Amino acid sequence: MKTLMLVVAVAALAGCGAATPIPADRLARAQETVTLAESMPATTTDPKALQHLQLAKNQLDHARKLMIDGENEDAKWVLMRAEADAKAALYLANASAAKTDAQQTIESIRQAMSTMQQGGSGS
Amino acid sequence: MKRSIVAFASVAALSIGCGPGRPPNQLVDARIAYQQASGHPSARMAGPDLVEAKQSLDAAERAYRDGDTEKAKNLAYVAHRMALAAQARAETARAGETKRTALAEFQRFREMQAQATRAELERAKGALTIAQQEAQAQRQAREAAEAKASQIEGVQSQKSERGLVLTLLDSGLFPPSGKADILPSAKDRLAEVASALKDDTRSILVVAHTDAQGPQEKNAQLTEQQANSVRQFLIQQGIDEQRIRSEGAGSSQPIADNKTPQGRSLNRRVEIIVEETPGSGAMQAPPPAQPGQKAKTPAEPPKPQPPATQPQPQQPPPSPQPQQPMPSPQPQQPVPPGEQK
Repeated sequence: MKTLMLVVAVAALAGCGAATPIPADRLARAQETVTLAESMPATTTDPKALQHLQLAKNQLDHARKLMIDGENEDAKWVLMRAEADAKAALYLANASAAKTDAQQTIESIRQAMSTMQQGGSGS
Repeated sequence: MKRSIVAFASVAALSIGCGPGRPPNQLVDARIAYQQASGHPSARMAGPDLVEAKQSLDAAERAYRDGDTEKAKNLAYVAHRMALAAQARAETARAGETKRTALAEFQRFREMQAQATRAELERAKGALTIAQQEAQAQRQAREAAEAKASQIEGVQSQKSERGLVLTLLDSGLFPPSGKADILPSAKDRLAEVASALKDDTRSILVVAHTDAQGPQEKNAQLTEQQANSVRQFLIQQGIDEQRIRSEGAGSSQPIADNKTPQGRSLNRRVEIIVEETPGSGAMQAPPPAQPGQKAKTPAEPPKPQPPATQPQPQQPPPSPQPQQPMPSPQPQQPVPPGEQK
C-alpha cells in the first residue's frame, strides 16, 4: 500500500514531462523480492545473505528518493541493483537452509544407523 | 629518431584514449562470479539463473566495449548478483541431492537390517522348533523309561526330589561273602534297567548301601566297589559312561532297623537314581558328602574312625536267599546313632 501510494505520488510529479517513465514495475519487483528474502529465517543467520539483503534495502530507499527527485533513469538502475541483491540474498538464504537441513539429516541418519548397528550386534 | 618516438607516443596515447581502458571492478567481479557459478557441479540445476546472469554479463561487456562505463558497471553489478544467486541455487540443489542420497542409503540400510532381522527370526524359529521337538522326544523317552523301569520285577521305582529312584535289594545282587561281583542271576534285572534307561538323557547316580554290621570303613569301601560294579555293568549294557557315576554310602543311610535280619536285608541295597537334571553325569560336580557318607573320591585319604561305644560282635554274613517279591522300603527315617550299631 505504501509502495502504491509512492508510485502514484511519483507518477503525478513525473507526468509533467520527465523523459524516463517511472520504473514502477521495477520498484514493485524489487520490493517484493526484498520482502521474500526478509521472510527467510536463514537470511538473518547467513552473513552473506544478510549483507546482500541490507544492500538491497539501502538501494531501495535510495531509488525511492531518486524517484521523488524525478531521477527516474538513475532510479531504474538502482532498482535493478536492489532487485539483484535481494535475489542473491534470497537464494543464499535458501542454500544455507538447505545445507543445514542436509547436514542435520545426515547426522540423524548416522546416529540412527549407529543405534541400529549397536542393537543388532547386541542381540 | 626523435621524431619517430614522438609519433609512436602520440599513436599510443590516441589509441588508449579512444578504446576502453582497464575494465571496471564490477565487470571483473561479474566475470569471475559467472565463471564460478557455471563451473559448479550442480550448475545445470541453476539453468535459468545462469542464463540471466550471462545475459546481464554480455550486456555489461557490450556497454563496456561501447565506452558506456556507467551502464557497464550497473549491468556488471546485476550480473555479479545473478551469478551469486545461480551458484546459491546450484548449492541448494546439491544439498537437496545429498539429502536424498543419504535418505535413500538409509532406506536401503533399514531394508537390509529388516531382512537380516527376518532371517534371524526365521533361524530362531527353526531352532525353537527343533528344541521343542527335542524336548518332547526327551520327555517321551523319560516317560517311557520310567514306565519301563516301574515294571521291572524286583525293582522298586519311586519318584523323589533327587529324581527317579530305582531300588534293588542286595538279595541276589551280590554274593553274601561281602564281594562286589554281580551275581549272574541279578544281571537280567540290571540289563532290564539298562534297557529302560538307555534312551533317556538324564544323569544316573548309582549308590550302594549296606547294613550297619562290620567296620564303617570296610562297609564304605565295599559299597563303593558294589556301586562301581553296577555302573560298569550298566555301561556294558549301553548306558553312556558320561551319564553315569557311582558312589558308596556305606551304612550311613539306613532305611530300616539294623537290629533285625529283615531290616538289615532292606538296608543292603543299590539305588539307581535317574537325576532330574539332564546331561552328562561326568561333567557335574559330585554332591557334597553327607555326614557319615563316603563319596567316591579316590584321592581322599582315609579318616580315623572313633571307637564304637558299643562294639558289636561280627555277625556271619547273611545266607543267600531265594529271590522273593521285594517288600516296599520303609520311608527313610533318621535313625538315632545308638540304634545303628
